[in-house]
Amino acid sequence: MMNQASNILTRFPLIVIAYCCCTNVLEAQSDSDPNVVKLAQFEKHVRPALTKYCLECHATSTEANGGLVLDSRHGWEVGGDSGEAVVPGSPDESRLMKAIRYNDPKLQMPPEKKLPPDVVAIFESWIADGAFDPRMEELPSTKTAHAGNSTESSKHWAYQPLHVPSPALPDKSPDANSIDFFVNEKLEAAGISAAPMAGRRDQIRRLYFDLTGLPPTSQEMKRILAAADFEVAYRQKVDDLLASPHYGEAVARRWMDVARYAESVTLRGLVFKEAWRYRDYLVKSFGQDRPFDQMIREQVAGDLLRSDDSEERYMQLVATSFLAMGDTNFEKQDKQQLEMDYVDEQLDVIGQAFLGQTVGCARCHDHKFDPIPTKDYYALAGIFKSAVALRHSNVSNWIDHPLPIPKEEEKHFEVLETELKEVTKELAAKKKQAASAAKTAESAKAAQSKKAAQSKSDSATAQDGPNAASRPAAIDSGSDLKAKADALAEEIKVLEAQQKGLQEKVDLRPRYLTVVEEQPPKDIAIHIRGDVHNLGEVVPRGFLTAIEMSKPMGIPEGGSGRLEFAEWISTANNPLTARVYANRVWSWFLGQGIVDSVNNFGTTGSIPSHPELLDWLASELVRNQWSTKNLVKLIVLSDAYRRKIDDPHPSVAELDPDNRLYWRGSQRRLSAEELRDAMLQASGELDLAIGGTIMTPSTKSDGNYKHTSKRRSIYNPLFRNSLPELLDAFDFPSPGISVGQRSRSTVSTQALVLLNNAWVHARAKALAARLLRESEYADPVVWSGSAYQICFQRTPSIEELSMCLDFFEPKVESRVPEQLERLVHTLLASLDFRYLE
Amino acid sequence: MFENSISRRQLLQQSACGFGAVAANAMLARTGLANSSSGIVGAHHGPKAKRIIFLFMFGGVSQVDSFDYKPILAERNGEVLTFNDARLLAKTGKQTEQKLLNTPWKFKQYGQSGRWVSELFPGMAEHVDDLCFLHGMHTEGVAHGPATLFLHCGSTNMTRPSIGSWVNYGLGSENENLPGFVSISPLGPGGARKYGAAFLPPKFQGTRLVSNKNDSFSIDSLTRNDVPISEVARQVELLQRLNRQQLAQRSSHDAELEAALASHELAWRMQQIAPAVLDCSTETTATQKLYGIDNPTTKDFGEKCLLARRLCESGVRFVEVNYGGDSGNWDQHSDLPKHADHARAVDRPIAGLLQDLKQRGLLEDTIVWWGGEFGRTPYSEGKGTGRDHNPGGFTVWVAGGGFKSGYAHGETDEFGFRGIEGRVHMHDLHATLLHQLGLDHKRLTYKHAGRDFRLTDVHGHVVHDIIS
Repeated sequence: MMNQASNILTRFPLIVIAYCCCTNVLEAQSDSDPNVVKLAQFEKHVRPALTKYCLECHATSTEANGGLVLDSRHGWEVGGDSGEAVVPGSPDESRLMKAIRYNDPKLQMPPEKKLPPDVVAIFESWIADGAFDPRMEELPSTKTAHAGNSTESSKHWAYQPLHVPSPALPDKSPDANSIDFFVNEKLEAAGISAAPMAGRRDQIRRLYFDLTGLPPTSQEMKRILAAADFEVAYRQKVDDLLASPHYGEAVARRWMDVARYAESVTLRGLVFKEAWRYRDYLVKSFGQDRPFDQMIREQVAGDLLRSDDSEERYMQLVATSFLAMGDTNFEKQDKQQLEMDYVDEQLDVIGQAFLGQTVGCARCHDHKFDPIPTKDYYALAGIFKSAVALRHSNVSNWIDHPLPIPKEEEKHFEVLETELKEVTKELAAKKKQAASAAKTAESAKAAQSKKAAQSKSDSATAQDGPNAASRPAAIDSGSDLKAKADALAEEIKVLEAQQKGLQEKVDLRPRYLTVVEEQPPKDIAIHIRGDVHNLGEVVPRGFLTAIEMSKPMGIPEGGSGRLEFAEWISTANNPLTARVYANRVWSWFLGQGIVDSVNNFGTTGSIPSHPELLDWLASELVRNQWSTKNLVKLIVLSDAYRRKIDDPHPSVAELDPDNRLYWRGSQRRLSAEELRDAMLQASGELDLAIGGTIMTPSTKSDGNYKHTSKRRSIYNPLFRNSLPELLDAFDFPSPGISVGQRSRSTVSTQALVLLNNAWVHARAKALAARLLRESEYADPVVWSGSAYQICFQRTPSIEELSMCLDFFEPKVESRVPEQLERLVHTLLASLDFRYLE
Repeated sequence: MFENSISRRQLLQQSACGFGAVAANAMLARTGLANSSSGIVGAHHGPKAKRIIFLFMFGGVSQVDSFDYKPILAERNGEVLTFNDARLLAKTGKQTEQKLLNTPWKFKQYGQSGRWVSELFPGMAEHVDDLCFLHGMHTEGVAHGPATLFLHCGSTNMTRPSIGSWVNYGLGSENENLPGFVSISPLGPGGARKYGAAFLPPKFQGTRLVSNKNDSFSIDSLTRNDVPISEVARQVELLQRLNRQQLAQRSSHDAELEAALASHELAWRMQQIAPAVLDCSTETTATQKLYGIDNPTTKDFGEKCLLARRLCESGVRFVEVNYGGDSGNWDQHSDLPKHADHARAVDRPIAGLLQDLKQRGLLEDTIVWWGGEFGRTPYSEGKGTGRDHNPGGFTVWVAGGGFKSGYAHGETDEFGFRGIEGRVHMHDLHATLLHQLGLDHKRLTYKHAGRDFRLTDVHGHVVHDIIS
């Protein structure tokens, strides 16, 4: 305060004294000094107007809307996001005047209502007069305090190169797992002793669900438990399951949450008929252990890669559908804004999925916490703006392109397409003909009725005049026209049918959801506050500047930079990518990430519980050619993964209640999809076919879609407006945003669905029928035993068995099937069915 | 019917989080006290209202044909003037010439407040002294999709939680046996996002109430009708016995598992209590008549309005009643007279709802919010027989819940095109509605993707002028 006061004193000694006294004094002195006159004007008119109309939103202490503060001279000098607000001496050049004059529909202040004319005049003359303003800054300006590029945040751990630790394994056995070295080190330091290994049955169930999303069969369970050496059997099972085609499905489904995979958009339920190809790309890629760095390049820029192998080319093209999967509002009328929204969605997903960065925050202003300036955002946005994803009309269209197909098939479709074109052309011509014929008929009819009217009035005067003869002729030509029109209508009908048939055939040509590079690619301007109609400086396309690479990467002349960006993300030099992916995979199996916020490695995210382990896993990933399977195998063979879910010792409960140190196993509940699949598996109805689309071909919109398939959940069309059974109730995440970790609620809706949902009843019915069919003896003891084997791969305890048998009492033969159905329904709804041990 | 040993902590852990939250007893849930483990924020300040009924007029009601009387349209009908038509402005950035279109309906003044209402809404007109009109509304998005999403989620495109989900997250349900947020017959563009929770935990999403084959409304899987209740009871008993046994056989005692056990118990209670709330047939003939249920024209919307009252009465925080779906909506581009059909379908039911809430003393702490995603232009479109969308100026009304009554805030220009006085942006309305519920729109935030999100983004001002 002292500082400010003395500051003002040196600049305006007289004025301050005067101001402190009262305005009357000012007025009295007004003749002596022009500044005093101006000050008087300011205090009398301008300050009250500012206070009354502007400061509620534009003050340091309030919101500084649009980045503009008007509570100090400095405030309007610097201006808001759009630049200086006042140009002293030039009202017409001042944005403030522009805003309050209300002439520009996009810039009108105050937003509620235009100011009275006299107030507008006050501002106008104030600015014209040089905009005298005695007010000093009240607080250090927020404008200079961008966290953006501060060196502090660049030092953030996640931006540092991988520190590759070498675990000094006190090598006991060849199977010693490095993961356990790191985990145990922390446990020892904390003085916590780890829980013992989980029971063998529990380990196997865990392994099956984690690696395939399905339970083991009871026969398989029995076989493994009977093995002479469980350790050998477990390891063998790991290899078997990693080789199972269902492994690819299980991992793909996890990645689909991150990729916000869906097959429709919520708006009008428009359907992405070709999205399933991307899902199948994932199933296949994870199944074949495609290197993940390659998968990154393919998802971000597969269309720009090259391959002579047609299979590979297919995979590259389809992978890029990743960019086009957003829940876009194609109906948005401001198409420029729509395009930028589209790019924003892409950047948001790419940032979170691969880099663990919340890039989207920098759309409107420099990132408040991470070193991502707005400039970087628009450098990236330029890359994606150059990849056209929309064809505009009232409801814009996404882009699906024909897939490359073998030459002879190509020929077949070409012929069809030519035919279609011809038919369409002919149809148009005929329709035109019909329209003009109709017009002729219309005018003929009009002429005729005119004539008729004429002749009627004429007939009064000249009974047998010359008009009388023309009447029948006119009628003749009318019926002639009618015959012609009918023939034409018939022709049109035939052509329309032909066109429809051909279109259906042409539609069979496989297509894929994609984006198209625009030539030449363009740099774009910073959109101030994210507004497409308020542009700032143009920024050259580029990548995130906070991440320093040992080998700098650039964008070659003529290229959009998307391919280079894909390389930049997937290079081992990028300190974020391998860490983010290794952590993600870890979280899929251990229930929580080493960095808990799996999609956010920025300064607002969590810090790693085991930094060395994280860097070791990331470097192992890179060292093994980005093999996901290798990483998964390391994890599921570790003790950390295989521990029992134990009750904590009170001291441990205090030290590590959340199991951050992995001293015990993690509580795992089946996901919605796993629950559905497990029920179908138990009822014997599950169809384990792999890949392809099962969407009803005629599906035009996703509302009220009937999901009737018995395929695994991953193959149900994932419709944003009508999710398959159970998904809504069991925390299936909103497929509009990238989700790193699903939330897990325990609410009674779930209990209601398990008990009352018709789909669940049908599974119980089928399971009961299966038991009746497959059991050697029709006896509740046998049924109960088999049901426990099928549902939980174990025998019921004595208590459980007796509860089951009680349920059949009093025994009435005719009611037995019904009771059996209720019993197995109860088992499907019970806790052990959905909570693993 | 079941003994159990769930601790108070576990009960609290689940309480007030919406559909099926567990609470020790009704009183506990009715306190509305938030607790950290349930994820409910709790009120920031003393609330004026406890709940909201939102009557969503999908398609866009024309303000100049309903509540915003502009006699000049009759005087200058057919005159061509330059307008900033929102759609053409978005597409071309240019102003366009448009032909004024008079309203085919007569206006009259009503009530002590003397508000002008057209003959479209004779029923609502009788209640003008209870209503608070916002004539200077404006919003974002000029097509149904974007504007509907903006109305519900405060964003025209991005996936964001809906207002009902925010309220549910802010306050939870008042009744542990009912959801906190219900949407009756949600249809139209925006789809599931209109009641979606986006990045909020899914438990805060809206529960759909859709009419089933028997023409009554129900919650999915609430009951099963193919088995006598005694049989269900027997099965539930077996389930809980087995569940307890399973828990006893486990090596750990996990709070989540115990909560799951409790959720089954609550579900059992719910399926006995909730159907009664959803059953409007117990209402008297007089009440049914009040809502127009006796008349085929008003039956459908009347039932929805009555249901909304019953749900609110039972503690649901946010009920959205949707008008407009397969059977048509307010979107009269080329056939303005059809507005009358829609008006007939909703007017009596809404008037009945207001009267019923009032006589039950519920209007005091219930907000009734009426409006569409935007209004319509005072000039004609295409063949000159209808009106296009107008997000720049339209009318919305709110009633009850601490709002001024018999009051009008703001106004549009002489033609009813653009708000010029007391403009209220949709963000402002959202902020104000939350404010009345005791929630500060700037503090009702949820951390997602590295930052705090809120319904009003970085905008929104509470409109203090309309608060009594």
